[in-house]
Amino acid sequence: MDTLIFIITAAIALIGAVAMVVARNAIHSALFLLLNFGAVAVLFLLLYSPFLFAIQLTVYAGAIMVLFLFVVMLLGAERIEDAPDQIAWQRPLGIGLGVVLMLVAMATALRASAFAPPPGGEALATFGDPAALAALLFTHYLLPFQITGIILLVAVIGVVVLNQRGRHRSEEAGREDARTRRREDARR
Amino acid sequence: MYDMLYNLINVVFGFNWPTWLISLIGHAAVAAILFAVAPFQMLFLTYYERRAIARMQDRVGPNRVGPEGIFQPIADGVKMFTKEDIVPKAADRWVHLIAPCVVVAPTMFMFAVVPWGPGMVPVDLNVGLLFFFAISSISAVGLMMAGWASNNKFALLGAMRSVAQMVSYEIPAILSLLAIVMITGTLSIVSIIDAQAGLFINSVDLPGVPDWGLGWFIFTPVGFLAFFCFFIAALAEGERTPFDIPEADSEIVAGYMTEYSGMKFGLFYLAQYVLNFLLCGMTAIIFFGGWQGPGVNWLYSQAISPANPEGMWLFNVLAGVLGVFYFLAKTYFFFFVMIWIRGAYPRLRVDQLMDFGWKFLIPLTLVNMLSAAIWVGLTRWGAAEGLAFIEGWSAGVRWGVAFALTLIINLATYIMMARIYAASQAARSRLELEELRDLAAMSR
Repeated sequence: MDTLIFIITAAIALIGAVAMVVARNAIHSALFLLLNFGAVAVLFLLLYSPFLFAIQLTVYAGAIMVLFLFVVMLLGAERIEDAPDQIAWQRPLGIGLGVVLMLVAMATALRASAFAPPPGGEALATFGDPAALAALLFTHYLLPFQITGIILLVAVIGVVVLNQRGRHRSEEAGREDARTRRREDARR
Repeated sequence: MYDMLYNLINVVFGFNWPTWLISLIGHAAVAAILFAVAPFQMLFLTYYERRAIARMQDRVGPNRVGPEGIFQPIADGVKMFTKEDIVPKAADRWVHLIAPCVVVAPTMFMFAVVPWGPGMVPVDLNVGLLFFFAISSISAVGLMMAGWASNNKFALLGAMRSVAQMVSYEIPAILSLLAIVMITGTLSIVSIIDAQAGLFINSVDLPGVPDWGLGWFIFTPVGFLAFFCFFIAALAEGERTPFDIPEADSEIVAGYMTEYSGMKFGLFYLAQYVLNFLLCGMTAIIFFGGWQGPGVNWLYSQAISPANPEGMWLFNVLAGVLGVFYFLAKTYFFFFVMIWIRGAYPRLRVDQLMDFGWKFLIPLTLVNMLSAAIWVGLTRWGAAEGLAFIEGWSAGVRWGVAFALTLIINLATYIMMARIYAASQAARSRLELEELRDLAAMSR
């Protein structure tokens, strides 16, 4: 039963990934990527980790993909791929590196006995429990966790500062513009 | 469900089917029931809303099809099915087709973790609450697909508005639920309901309180402020008045639904009502105890359950009926409040909506989380957590101190925030007025 669901989900994930690369339209690419994320989320569910499933959906599908779609639609950049490639050697290099990566991954998979679980690989009873995960985050991984928080805070402050500066300037300019235009209108 | 089917098939009939087949049948049966229930809820809610809003506007409302117009939604459904399905020539055909499905599927999916009565939950996930909101964020993608694929400016604008609104109001909704999660210490929806037994005072906070199933979180200052913020955020998530900006028909036709007709339009409609039902249900579950009410816990303690396998099946039925009755009564009451608000308030402007969410609701919910932390510290912690001074207090005193302290904090914050916000809004409208006067003077 698990194997059957795994095969279906993995096939959907692969189709989504390939279609995302092949699609010419940026919006279609983003939607195929979303399909891939959804399939990966289901794989987490198959691994008895509903917490990671929910996080994968909220963070990737809910937040990041919506942001991608928002930006692409706002800029109207969905057809930019149709233009000919600027850098000629980019494509062959990408394909070559991809093949190398696949070979390395295959070699690793074949060297280790891939189908036997690793020693001591039995899951704990609290596996995937949000409380257990949070306890780890706040004890063993406290420093990385805090640093991530500070980086995000800096990013938020940066956005506010940039937005404020940009708006002040444009608002002042806009108001002056409107005033002069109105005055000219009135004179006329 | 699984145990019941196992007993029926393998013990009573003696078929000896493998366990995976039985669990598959069980899940399929539950899924089928839910898929049948959701559209019926939507049919009933449309009728309910039309009749209630008609009363408020001194009209009669639909009263021709069937007794008191009860079959009106079915007539509307038939109309939807037989309407012509129009796809604009310049639309992206596939995305246009898939968008309604991407909007509807998550709302159906969300039913998977909603408990209807004692022991009546399709799946009791240990992250049920997170699952609910993770899934609900997917439908934003569907709205976006609909708006973009229609190749229509109004549709795209509507989609942008609705996604901006959903993303902004998800934050106060989840932050206000986080306060409750801090108090209960669990993300499972079933455990959150179980924690609301008691009589005005939670029986977890004060052991020995008579269990009338009324220990709802709404009776605590933390729960009340969380409810206030969550319900407003739910109005915005469900695109109800006064937050129905994405489909403000006087400004942008029907928003992302502009280019849809027939059953595809019907699907958007369905998704919206089902989402509203679920949000009202969530409000009832988290703050008003869900199926908790006088009598349910006593009935369920006599019934067959994992804790008491020797019970009577009759009590299962009685507890289930009473629990579902309480849950649906609360849910429909909140839907009525939504209709009531629709009848009473005008629509907000986009910038007012954003201001209200980011500058008023989010700070309020953040302070509420502080209150929740104080509540947990005073009612649950002791010397082990570094709060040695409360060791000697009795449970009643602890509860009283926590209640008073959080009440003062929340009330003071609310009054302060409301004054600051009102002052800033007044200043803003003054500026706008000046600009208008400027304009008027110029043109003269």
